[in-house]
Amino acid sequence: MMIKKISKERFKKLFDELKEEYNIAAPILKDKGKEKILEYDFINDFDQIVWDRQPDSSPKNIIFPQNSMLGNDYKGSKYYDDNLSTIIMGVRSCDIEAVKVFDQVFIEDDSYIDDSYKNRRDKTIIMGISCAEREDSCFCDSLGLDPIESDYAPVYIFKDEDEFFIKIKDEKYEDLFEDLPKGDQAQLKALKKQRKEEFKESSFTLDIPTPLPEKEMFEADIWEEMTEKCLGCGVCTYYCPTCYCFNFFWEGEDGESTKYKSWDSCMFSSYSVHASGHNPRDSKGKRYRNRIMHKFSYHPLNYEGLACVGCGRCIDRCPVNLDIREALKMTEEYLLEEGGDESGKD
Amino acid sequence: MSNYDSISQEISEIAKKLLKESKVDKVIGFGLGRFTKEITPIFIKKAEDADRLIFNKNCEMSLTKYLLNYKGEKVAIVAKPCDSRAINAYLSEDLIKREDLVIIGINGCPGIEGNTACEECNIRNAVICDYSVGQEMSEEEIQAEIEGFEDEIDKMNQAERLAYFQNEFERCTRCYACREACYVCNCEQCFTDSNKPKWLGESVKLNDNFTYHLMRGIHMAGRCVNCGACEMACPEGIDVRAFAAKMCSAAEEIFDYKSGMDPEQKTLLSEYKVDDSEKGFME
Amino acid sequence: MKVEKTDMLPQKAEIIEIKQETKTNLNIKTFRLRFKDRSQRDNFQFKPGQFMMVTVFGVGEAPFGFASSPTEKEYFEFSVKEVGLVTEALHNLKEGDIIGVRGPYGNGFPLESTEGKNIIFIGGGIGIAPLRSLINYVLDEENRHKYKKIQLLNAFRSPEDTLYCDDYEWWENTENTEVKYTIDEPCEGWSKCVGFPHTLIVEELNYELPDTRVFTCGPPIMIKFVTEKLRELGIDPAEIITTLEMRMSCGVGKCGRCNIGHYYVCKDGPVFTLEQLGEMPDEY
Repeated sequence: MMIKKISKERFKKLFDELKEEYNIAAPILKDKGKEKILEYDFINDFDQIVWDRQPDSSPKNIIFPQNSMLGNDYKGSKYYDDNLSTIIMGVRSCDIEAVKVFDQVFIEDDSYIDDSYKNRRDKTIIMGISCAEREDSCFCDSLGLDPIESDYAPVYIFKDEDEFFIKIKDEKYEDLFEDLPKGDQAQLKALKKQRKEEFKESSFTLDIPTPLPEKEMFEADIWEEMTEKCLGCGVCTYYCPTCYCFNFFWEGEDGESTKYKSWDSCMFSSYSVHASGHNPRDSKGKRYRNRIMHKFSYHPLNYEGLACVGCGRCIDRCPVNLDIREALKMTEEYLLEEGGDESGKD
Repeated sequence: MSNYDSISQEISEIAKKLLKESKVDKVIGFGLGRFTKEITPIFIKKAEDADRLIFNKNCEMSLTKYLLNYKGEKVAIVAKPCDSRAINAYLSEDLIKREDLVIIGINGCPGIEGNTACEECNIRNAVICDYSVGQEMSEEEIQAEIEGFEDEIDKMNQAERLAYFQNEFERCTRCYACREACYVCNCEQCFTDSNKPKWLGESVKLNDNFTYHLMRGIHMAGRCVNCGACEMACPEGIDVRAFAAKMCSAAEEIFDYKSGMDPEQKTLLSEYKVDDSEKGFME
Repeated sequence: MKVEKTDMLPQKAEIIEIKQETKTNLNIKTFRLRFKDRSQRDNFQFKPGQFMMVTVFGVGEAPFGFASSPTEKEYFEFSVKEVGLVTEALHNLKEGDIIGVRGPYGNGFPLESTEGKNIIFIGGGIGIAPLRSLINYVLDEENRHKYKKIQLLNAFRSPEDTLYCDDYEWWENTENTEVKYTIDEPCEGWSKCVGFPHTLIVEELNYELPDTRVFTCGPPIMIKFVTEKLRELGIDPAEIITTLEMRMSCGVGKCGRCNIGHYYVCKDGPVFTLEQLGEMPDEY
C-alpha cells in the first residue's frame, strides 16, 4: 500500500499526465435542458470534475453502456480511444460495490464468462472517492457497506478541502503515482475517523436477514399495494448501478446485420412476455417483486452479497418517488408479522 | 391564486369526511414519503390517515391515470385543473364511470415548480369536480398570470428547431417515463412494444429516439391537456412536452378545440365537421 | 468500431430441409439444419432437452429445443410454431437459406439416471418436439436395450395437427414400445383415443409398473393437469419430468428474463422434475 498527498494543482498535473495514456471518465455536470445533471463521461479537463456530491448516474454508463455492438460503443466520445485503458475517477463506495456485482455475474461465474464485459473491465481502473456526506436518499451503510472506503477499488481518493490523499492499494498501479509526495498514514486515518463520526445516521435500517426467504416473500400479498403508485417505466432500472438485465437487437438486413446488446428493464411489461402472449409477470407488483427479490434474495442465493448498494438513485430518479426503503420496510413488517406462524405454512 | 397550505387543509377535511361516511374506498392524492420529504402519490384508505394528504408546489404527478386501476371501485381523486381535464377526457372516452368517482378539484391552481406547462396554462380552475378547494381565479387573473408568455420554439426557424430537438432527444434513454406518466398513454400495447409490425428500433440512437417522440407527439393531437407530467417525469430533463404542446396549440388555433373541457366532448380526431379548417399546421 | 470476441454471436447453419407438419389450425414446420462449417458439424454435441438460440439475421433470435436426437449425426432439427416475429421470419425461409444458431444451452433430460427404467412420454402439440429428441434417442437401436417398457401418449388438437407422422411406424414397431394418440374432440375417421391426455392416463397407460419415469411437455395447462393427475396416482414427483418455456435472450443465465425465483430456466433448466418445481416460486 502507498499513500500520497497532493494539492489540487498537483492533481491537475497528474490528470494531464494520465490522460496521455488513459481514457479518463469522471463525474461532470452536463446540461440537460433546464437542469444540470452530474454524470460520468470521458473528459479532458480536470477542472470539470465534481467531487463533492454523489453523481446522478452511476459509472454503469461507462462500464456497461446502454447500447454496445457486443463490444465498445461510447457514442463516439471525443475523449475515448479504444486502444487505451480507462480510469474512472471519483467512484463512491456504492458504485464500486455495484461493479463487484457485475464482476460476479459476468466474469466470476464459471458457467459463463462474458467476453465483451471482461475485456472492458480488464482495461478499467477504478479510482474510488471517499464519501463525505450523506445524500437524502442513500443508505449504503444500512446494507453493510462503508461509504468512507470500499476495498474493491485498487486506488482511492480522500478529498480533504483542497487537498487529496491518494491511497494505492494495488501494487500494480503504484508506478502511476510514484512521483507524488508521500502522505501521512496517521493523518489519513484521522481524517477517515472524523468522517465516520460526522457521517449523518441513516433514517433507514434493514432489520431482516438476507437473502429474503424466496418462496415466502414470493407468495406475500404486499407487492401490489407496494407498487400502487408505480408507473411502470424503466427509470429505477436504467439508473440503478447494479441492474444489468439486457437484450439483444439487430440492425441491418440479413447477413449484413449487426447484433447489439442493450439494457433492458424488468419493469417493462413487455420484458417477460412469451411469443404466445402469456406473461408470467403480468402486473407491476409481480415485476417489482422480481426486482426486489433479485436484489435481496436471488442474487445473494446465486452469488454473494446483495445486488442493491443503497445508492438511492432509484428513489431520486423515480417520477413518483417510489422508495425502495419503504418497500423493504413493508417486507420487513410482513416477515415480522407472518414469521410467527411460519410453521403453519406449507 | 390559492395558497398551498389552505388547499392541503381543505383536501384533508374533504377526504376525511368521504372516508368516514364510506362514500369512497380510497382517496388518491399527494403526500410525503416515509423516508424522504418528497411528494409522492398516496392512496388513503382510512379517515384517520387523511391528514397525510397535502398539496404543494411539488405535486407534479398527474394522478388521473391511476383511475384506470380502480375500475368498479369508488374512489376520490385530488385533481389539479389539468388533471380535471384529463378526467373529462377519460369520461368522454368511457374509460371511467362518473358515478364511481368523487373529484376534489383545485381552483386557482398556484402551479407546479419547474413545470414549464404552468407558465402558459390558462385553465387554472378545475373544469369538473364534486368538491372544489382553493379560490376560483377570474379570467383577468389568469391572463395576468400568463401575460408575456412566448413559445421559444415557435420563434425558431426550421434548422434551429431541428438542432434543438436533436440535442434534446439525443439524451433520451427510452426509459418511457414520459409515456407512463402521461394520462393519454393508456394503450393496451404501445407502438414501441409492437414487433409485428415493428415501428421502432431498439437502439437509443437519435433517429429511433426521434421516431419515438414524434410518433408519441402525433398521438397527442386533441388529447394532450398540457399538464407537463411527461416533462416532469423525464430523468434526462428532455423537453418531451414540446410536440404535445404544439399539438394542443394547433388544435386550438385550427379547430378551436381544447381537450378535456367537458365530459361530453368528443375527441378531436373522432369528429369531423364540414366547415373544419383544412389548414395544415405543418405549413 | 471494434467487435470484440464473443460467443453471443451466432454460427451459421444451413436449412437443408423444411417439413410442413400441420395442416390447417396451427402452422408448425420442422427445420432440418446443419452447420456450414464441416469441423463445427463434426464437433457438435448436444443432449435431448437442450435448446439453441436461433437467429434470423436482421430480425431477431429465439430459443428452440432440439426436436431431433443426437444420434442423428448429420443434422439437427427444430420444430417451430408460427407465433411471433422470429417464428414468422423462420417460416418464410426456404431450404438452402442460412440462419444463425448458438448453443446448445440448458441442462437437458437426465439420460443416465433414466437407464433401467420404464418410461412414459406424455406430449401435447408442439410440446412433443423436445420429447421427440429423447424418444428418438431412447428408441435408437444403440440405446433401446438400456430402457425397459416405453409408452407414448401423443396429444393433438385435431388429426390435422399431428406432428412427426413419419416417425410413427418406427415408434410403433420398436419392441416393448406402445404408442397412443389422442385428439381433443371426436372427429370423423379418427379411430384412436379422444380426450385430454390427463383423462387417458389410467385407461391407456400402464403407469403402475415399478421404476417408471414420466416425461411430459405441452401447453402449460396440459402440463398442469397431467402432473396433477400423475401425482394423484401416486407417482413420485422426482420421477415426473417436464421442460419449461420462458422468454429468453442470452441462454446463459445472465440477461435476467427467464428466472423463476433464483433459478434460471435457460441455465438451471429447462428440464425440471416436479419435485424441483414444487420448491420454486410459481411464476411461469
